[in-house]
Amino acid sequence: MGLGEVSFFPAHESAMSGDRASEFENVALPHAAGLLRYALRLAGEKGRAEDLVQETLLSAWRNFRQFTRGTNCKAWLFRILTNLHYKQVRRSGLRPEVHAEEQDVRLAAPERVSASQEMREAFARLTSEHQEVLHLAVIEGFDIREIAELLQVPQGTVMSRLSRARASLRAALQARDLIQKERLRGGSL
Amino acid sequence: MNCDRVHDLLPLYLSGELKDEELAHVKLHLQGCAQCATAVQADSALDNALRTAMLEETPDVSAVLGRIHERMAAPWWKRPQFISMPMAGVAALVVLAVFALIVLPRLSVHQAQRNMALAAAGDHYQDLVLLRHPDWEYKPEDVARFLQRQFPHRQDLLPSITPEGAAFEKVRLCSLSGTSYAHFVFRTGTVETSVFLLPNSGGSAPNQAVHLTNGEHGLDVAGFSSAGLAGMVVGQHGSVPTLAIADRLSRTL
Repeated sequence: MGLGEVSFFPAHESAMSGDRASEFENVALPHAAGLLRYALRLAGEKGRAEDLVQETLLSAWRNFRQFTRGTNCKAWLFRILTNLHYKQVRRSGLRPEVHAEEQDVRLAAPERVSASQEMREAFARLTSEHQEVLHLAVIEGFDIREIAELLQVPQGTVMSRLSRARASLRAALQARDLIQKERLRGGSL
Repeated sequence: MNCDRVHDLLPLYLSGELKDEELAHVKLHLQGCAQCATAVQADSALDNALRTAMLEETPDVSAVLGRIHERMAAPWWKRPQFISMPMAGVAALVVLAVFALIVLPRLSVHQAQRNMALAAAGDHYQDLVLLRHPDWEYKPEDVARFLQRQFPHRQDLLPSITPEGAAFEKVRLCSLSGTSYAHFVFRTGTVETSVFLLPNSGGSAPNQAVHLTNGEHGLDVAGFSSAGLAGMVVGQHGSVPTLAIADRLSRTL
């Protein structure tokens, strides 16, 4: 039987104290769903996204002593995840960005989809750069300064990207609206 | 403030980061400019719709969390380290060399566990052989009070931890390396068995037992961890089946 599988000491005897472990559970693990949502966008595939989140949280857990209480844990975790992702991309030689607008994205029949699904499909047609900045600002609620730190670009760049991303999203929705009207007109003939 | 400047500041306004004077200027402009006010409302509505649409599809994170909890519960020497392969190879060679030359001959258990086991063996020896401690609880009413105080949710604790064929003799609170343990003593004829329990704590890896060391005074120590309690069993080597007792406690407590 493996010796290491038995723990009969008080928590403070272990590598990380019970208090710190419980703090990690409270401040870091609640962001797991947000991390996975962002990882899915970055990695594209569920298995890779889950591995990325797992590696992020384990890295955070191993280095949790370096985390300063009271600072933004979510931003810290997203920074780790982003760094890990781009490190993997560099190592594997994968293309870091896929420009959805350059692809032929097949749209579902407009009359059968909800407004939310329309929005998701329009979002999927944006460039990675625009998706990234909208995701961080609107879905995850990071402020401009935090996004600039995460993406390592100036705050002015984040602001202009956000404006262009919103304009692109609006255009994608309007294009979809036009297609829907065209189809309805075609159907009524 | 003109419309272009407001347009530039819109991302900061929407994320709530505009402060003081600039915020006041933007608000003032929006009150007098229908075009900018409409643009703000449109962007805000777009953000809300996007947030709603994306958060409707919350990914299932339970599998990842399960694996994280598993790794967090593992002792540090069993946790995987994410280092590059060449470094991992070098590190493995160094560890093997150190282990073969220095650690293996001396150490059969982790040092912290060894220290705790030796402390338990020492306490058993001091109490039972040298009879140093006067603060034992023997009387049934005193023992009941002790159990109620230290293990308030364990009404049936004493019969549960009594080794087969042994009888309870006494109990006291002792300090092992600065940690309080309840030290129970059981007797089978002339053979004494000590059970040390850590009040109010379960093991992180329950239902496990392991032999720790042959203590300095010819004593065996076995550690165990159950869902509700954790502790050690100490007894004379060859006379007390410490590992078997620890194994039973790990499954029944």
